[in-house]
Amino acid sequence: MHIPSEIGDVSIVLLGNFNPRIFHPSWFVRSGLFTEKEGEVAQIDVIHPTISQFRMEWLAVRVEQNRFTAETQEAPFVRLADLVVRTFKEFLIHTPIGMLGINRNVHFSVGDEATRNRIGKMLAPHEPWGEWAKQIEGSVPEKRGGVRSLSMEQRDLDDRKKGHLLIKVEPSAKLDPQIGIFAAVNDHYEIDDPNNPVGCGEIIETLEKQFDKSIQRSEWLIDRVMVLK
Amino acid sequence: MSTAVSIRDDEFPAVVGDTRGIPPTRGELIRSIARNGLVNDPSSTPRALAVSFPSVFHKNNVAVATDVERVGLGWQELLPEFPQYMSRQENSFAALQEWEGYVVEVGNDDFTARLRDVTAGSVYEDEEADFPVDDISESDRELLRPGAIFRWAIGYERTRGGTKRRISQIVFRRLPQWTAKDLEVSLLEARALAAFLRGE
Repeated sequence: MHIPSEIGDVSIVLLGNFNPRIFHPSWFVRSGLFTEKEGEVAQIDVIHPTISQFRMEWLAVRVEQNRFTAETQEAPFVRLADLVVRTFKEFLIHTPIGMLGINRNVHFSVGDEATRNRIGKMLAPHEPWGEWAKQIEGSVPEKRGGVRSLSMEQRDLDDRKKGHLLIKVEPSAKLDPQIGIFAAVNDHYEIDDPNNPVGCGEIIETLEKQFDKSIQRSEWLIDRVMVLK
Repeated sequence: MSTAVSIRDDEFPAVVGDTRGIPPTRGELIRSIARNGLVNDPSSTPRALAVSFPSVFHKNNVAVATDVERVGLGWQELLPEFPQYMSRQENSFAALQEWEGYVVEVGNDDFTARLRDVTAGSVYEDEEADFPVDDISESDRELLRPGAIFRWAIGYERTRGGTKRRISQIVFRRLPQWTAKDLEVSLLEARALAAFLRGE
């Protein structure tokens, strides 16, 4: 990427029907998806019929009855895809899953406030707001307003039957808000009838084929914002 | 006492349908639990749940809960305070450049691999490098053997305290086993390629 990210993560989100109780670190160890040592150091937040959540050094997993989320902040991110693909391709093959999201989130610094404001105005110009534009500017720096969140979506994609590519850009809440920008890309895939999925073969095959391309495309998209610096 | 609870689904923004990596809010989790049957179908739970919904659930006719009286856990106990971001990892590591490689030869202290530059979009492994075995984490060392596939990333690690340092990380891939369908597809591709080479 044009600017190295200060904080970033990748998450894989699956929507369907899950049994959260299954997703215990010890199950992953028994299945050979985690080593014994990984299983031992996993920190369990909750394991319950409605929700399970645990985390380990490079990974966090949360499973609700209709949503599975696996997240990492540590490259190489393909390790996350390998884990999810193996989980559902080798073990939980009958899990009905209708939607997939491959998400790339990045917080980066543009160095100074003036640059951040300039980028904000390029993405969302104030002029169309007419008289209000002056008021958005504020009379003193601490009361300066501006774009809080901007989303741009592509729906016509030739690599999926249904879905979208969505980028959201906001001031960063994790870095110094005067100089930080947060960009989040949601690369979303659906099967033909996502509310009535039969098994998870199609979605997991999509994940397997698309993950690397998706991350590269998301980073390219985030770069479109970074190069405005 | 009856334990009927009705939730008007159309009044709630559904948790499903959103694959962004944003964890649900506490309220969404509560609604999710209600919608997913723990409340509507007590028999689906191993223990009856003491679900006493907060008053907000009765306001604005968003949900109508009547005679909710159970024994056991309270809904608050079901819902620990989840962080906005799940990972809470000490460090984050962003790659500046990434290669995929396969192991060609394994020595006592190092191993040789052929590499493909993933960041540059290379299709073929056109680089070769030697790596110290010590660079591999203990959990991955058992995977080190000729033919094993790994990712090598170079980038910046940022600690929670804000310190940034350049590091490199090797992670061996734990790829899924080939399924019968995978083998079938490969066989068809191989046959098609053989036919092409024979000029058919």
